[in-house]
Amino acid sequence: MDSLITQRDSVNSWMFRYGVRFGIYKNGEFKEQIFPFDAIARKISGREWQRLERGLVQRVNALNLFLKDIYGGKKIVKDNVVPEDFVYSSKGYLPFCEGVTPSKEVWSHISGIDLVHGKDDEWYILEDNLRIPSGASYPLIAREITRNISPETFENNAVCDNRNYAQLLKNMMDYVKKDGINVILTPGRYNSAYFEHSYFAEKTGAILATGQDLHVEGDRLYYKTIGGDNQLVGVVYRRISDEYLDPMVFNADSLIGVPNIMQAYKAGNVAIVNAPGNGVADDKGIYYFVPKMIKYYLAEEPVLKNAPTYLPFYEEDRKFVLENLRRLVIKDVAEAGGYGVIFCEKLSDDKFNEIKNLVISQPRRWIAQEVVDFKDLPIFDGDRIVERKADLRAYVITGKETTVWKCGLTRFSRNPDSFIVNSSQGGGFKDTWVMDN
Amino acid sequence: MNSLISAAKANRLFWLARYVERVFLSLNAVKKYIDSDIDGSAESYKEFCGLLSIADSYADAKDFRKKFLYDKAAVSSVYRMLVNAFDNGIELREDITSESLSYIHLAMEVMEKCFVNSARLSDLQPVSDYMLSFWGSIDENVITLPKMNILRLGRRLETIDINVRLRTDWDSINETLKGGILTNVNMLPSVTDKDKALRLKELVESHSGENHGEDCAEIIACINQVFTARL
Repeated sequence: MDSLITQRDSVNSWMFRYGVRFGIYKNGEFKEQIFPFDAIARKISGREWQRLERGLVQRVNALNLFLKDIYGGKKIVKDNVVPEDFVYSSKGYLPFCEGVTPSKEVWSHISGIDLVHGKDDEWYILEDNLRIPSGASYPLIAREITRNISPETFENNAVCDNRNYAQLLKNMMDYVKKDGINVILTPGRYNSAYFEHSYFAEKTGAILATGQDLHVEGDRLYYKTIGGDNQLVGVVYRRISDEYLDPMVFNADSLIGVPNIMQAYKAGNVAIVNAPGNGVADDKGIYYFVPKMIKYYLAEEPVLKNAPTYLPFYEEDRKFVLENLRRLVIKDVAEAGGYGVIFCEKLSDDKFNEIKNLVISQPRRWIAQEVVDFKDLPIFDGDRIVERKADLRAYVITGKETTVWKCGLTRFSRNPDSFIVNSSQGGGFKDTWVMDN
Repeated sequence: MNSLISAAKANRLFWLARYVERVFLSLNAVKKYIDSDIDGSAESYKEFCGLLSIADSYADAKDFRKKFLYDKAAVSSVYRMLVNAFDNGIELREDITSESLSYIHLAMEVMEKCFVNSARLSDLQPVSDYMLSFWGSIDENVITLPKMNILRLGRRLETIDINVRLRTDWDSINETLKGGILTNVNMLPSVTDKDKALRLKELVESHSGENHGEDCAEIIACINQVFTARL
């Protein structure tokens, strides 16, 4: 890896050249910034990966069965495995999707599962992202660049090739699509992940469209081309949240969605990737129940563990949480992107009491977790190597079968005291090498 | 790479091509005027501004050299032309490829550095080089004919426009006119404005070179109308 490390500045130059950025709004102003790349790759042995792979496939398969059940027979609720309060009060639950079965019965086509590697050498799942998990483009393009500038690094290290991600996406889209073309639906240039939308369109050969390029006629979705021809759309990989997807069904003020797309979807004329309504399964409250889902649907023991989690919703857990709040991390189930995560140890007394009262008054709003002491990874800070907290987002693609991409996004915190690794909060990323041994 | 184009993308392809070519031709042209300032009255830039319909708000030749190149607020500066090219290009990554787009990124980087250092015109040579590289990459990577056609149409139209304004010799303009612009227009999908298309054909084919400024202005207007009508 030495040769790659000595050329680490070139990697970032190449990233700049290709416009590898993410957008962020600060004080109401849109700014694009680079997502800093660290050249010291995270290595995962082939053996360790096999276990991760097994656990991730198992988890995503169970989550897909859960979604099928929730929008169908609701057996898991009737059997009291998951309380209905956690299903129907979830912001991600969409009554419109009741009884709607997506093409090929796949709900979560692209799942981004966040994990950390504990100091006890155990991998813990931190959260599931089943709506629009982003970030795969960064390690994908980073690998392309690093292979180019330091071929000897890859000659000397048996790293599994990760350049099949676009093909995995395309195969999945082709598998679930109805008659018509493949489209990636973007909110537009000023979305934080616009680079990724356009990069995947380039790499998969799909059309990159905004809501204004698409329209519905007779429950079918069309892409309007120059000269007025309408092209039937068979699958939409949407990068727009559920609430903005269709102003006729969800947020009426949405200008970025496609009116009546949900009717076309409900009629079975277009596949939507990921399926609308998935938010009910990646709700932070539902996370607690995923190991139970695995046992319930698959009759298997979970391969991968959740971080130890408590639900203040349950009286017994609430009592424990209130007694041990100082050492726990509290998460607001409605928040994402590293926001709404509160490390109680660091709170002032006033703030601590405020949170304690909120847990008492709004128990459904929170989950509490033990702080997982996860492994630090080495990163460059200027010319020094320092240790920082890092997580791993693994990408699991479900089409004809469920496949884990042999790579992932390793995000690290640049702040020595922080556990928050999100790019929106100043973090950087590394390549993730799955070793071929 | 798919060959379908929405109206919005067609428009962006057209203007991307025009702005990239405008950056290249403007840098070439301004070099000549700055050169003639060396031996002349130091006011050649006024003529340059007049020909390109740029409002002469410059204090002197030095002010012109700085602001025409780098003024971020002025619509006619080379910097703004490049930003406009970028604004169109960034929404066309999947159509023009990341590689082609990268040359605009690189040109922007040079421009920003030169702006900070108040660099000389000669330091902007890489910008011209990147514009040429952009076209090389387009030729290499944009394999769908409809997209390539719109890019070529935009590029040719801009070349004619700038050369007519700068009163470049007729032979050069005629070469661009006869070199395929009619084909580019006719290859646009679904003719919706047949009268204009016929008038354009007549103008290009019957044109002799006399009063070429006026005729070319009509040709440019005609192409713009035909293109817009097909969006």
